[in-house]
Amino acid sequence: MTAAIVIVLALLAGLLLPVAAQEGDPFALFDPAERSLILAHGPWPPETAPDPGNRVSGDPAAIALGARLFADTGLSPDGSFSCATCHRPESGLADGLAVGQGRVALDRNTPDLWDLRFQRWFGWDGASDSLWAASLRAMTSPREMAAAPQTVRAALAGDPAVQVAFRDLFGSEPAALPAEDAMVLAAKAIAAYLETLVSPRTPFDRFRDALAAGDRAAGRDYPAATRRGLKLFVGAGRCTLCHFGPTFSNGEFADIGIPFFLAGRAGGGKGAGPGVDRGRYGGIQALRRSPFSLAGRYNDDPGRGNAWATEGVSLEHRNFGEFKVPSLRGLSGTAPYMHNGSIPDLDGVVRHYSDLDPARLHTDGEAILRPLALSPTEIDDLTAFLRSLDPPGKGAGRD
Amino acid sequence: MTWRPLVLLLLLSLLPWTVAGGQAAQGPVPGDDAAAACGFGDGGPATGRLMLGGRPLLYRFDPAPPMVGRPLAIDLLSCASDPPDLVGVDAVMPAHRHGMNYRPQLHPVGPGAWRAEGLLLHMPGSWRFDFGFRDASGAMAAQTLLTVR
Repeated sequence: MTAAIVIVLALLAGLLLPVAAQEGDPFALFDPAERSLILAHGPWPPETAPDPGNRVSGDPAAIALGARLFADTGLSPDGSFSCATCHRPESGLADGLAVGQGRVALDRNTPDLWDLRFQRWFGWDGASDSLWAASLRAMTSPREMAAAPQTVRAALAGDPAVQVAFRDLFGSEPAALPAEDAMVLAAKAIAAYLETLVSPRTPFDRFRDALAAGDRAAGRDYPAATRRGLKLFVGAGRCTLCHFGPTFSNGEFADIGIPFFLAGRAGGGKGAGPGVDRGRYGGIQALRRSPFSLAGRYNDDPGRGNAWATEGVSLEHRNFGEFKVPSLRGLSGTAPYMHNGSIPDLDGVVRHYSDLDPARLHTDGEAILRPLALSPTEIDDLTAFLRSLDPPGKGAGRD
Repeated sequence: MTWRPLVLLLLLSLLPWTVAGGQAAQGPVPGDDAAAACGFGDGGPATGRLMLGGRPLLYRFDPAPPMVGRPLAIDLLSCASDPPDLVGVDAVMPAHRHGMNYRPQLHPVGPGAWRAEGLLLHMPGSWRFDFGFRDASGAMAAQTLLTVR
């Protein structure tokens, strides 16, 4: 009899304690596996190290020169474009458009430039394997800045302040270098500047650190709806399969059922048919063709240890239509969303995953995504969590 | 006797913590004569031991434990007196039906010893590592599972 009473009391306690605990314990909602996943999304910012492929990475003089070149329209042949033309400081270093507007309407959404130093691949298709190579891609693309090496070298030599800064940094006058070498060094200065763009800490970071420290008082500052959204994110939603780690991206590529047909434009390339964005498949092909990849002569890492991904990446049929898993930090400021800017707001992004049509995935048998079938409350909770990845203040973006 | 149910409840409540901890732990290498005489050249401990053709195959991760999204290398050491050739190392997520996005490079580092570099586990969850070998008798393989968080 006594035993029976004890068992009943224990069971009741087991049922009731979690409810009571959630009132006062902001961490009680999460099981050990979920806590482990939450902790894996920090701390923020992560430790940094200079880029071994860029000889001027972390150099203050390079950062200053790179910031100046970033906004220098003289790098384009007709003086009409700079990096900042599309990556606008007032728009969170993106442009707010569905797809970028270069010399022509582009095919993809302009990504912002925050936290790039923590990435392995750059661009929606990962065609670049370093920040300086990514800068070169935008500079030289005929559809974007359309710069030629000679244009860039002339711009470097033609501005006395830039010329002196370049010479002091690299030990040579721009005009004394082969044009392509001068252009690559300019891109490395720009990359040094881009490395400094690390987004501020967010309400999520404070909650994550409170969890790590067992600081329940600090954890209670994170609203209940946001905590429920976080539980969905790391739990049933399985969002962390791709949006993993301090940047909320595993740095790789995925097909999430967004169409990759290009409206009104042929250009899928050889074997792809007209009007198709090949995504990661085309990105790997472009990487292998590029003279500016880490497999090439401009990589400053003498041991080439930083080229392992470039040399080892596989080209698979499933890469067709895969696009970069973006960081989720500062998400509110980067609308519209997806590689083609086809979803205007954050609520729409969550609804995309809730109502996902598996038939639109081109996964070659992969079994990762499935419709989340979220309730309206769950959609609000998940959206609230995503907004907690914004820096406090304006509530949108990292500007 | 009356407290046995409570003890059982306590053990059950601890089960999730036990499992989560065990997934990340590096188990000791069970000792036997062959394993005792067989070890990595630098004296470092193995992450685990598999059986290949009736002889132990030691392996260790670098870094250990492996981390999601970080480059990973695996050292392998065959304890056979006439070791087979290593022909492939791969990692797949059986539940997701996909593998890695990178092909590892295999480097012989001594008799029956290899280092596979350039692996990257790009998602948290359960990964299966496949080690393929070949000798005069044909192909053989060893596998091990690991949950990465």
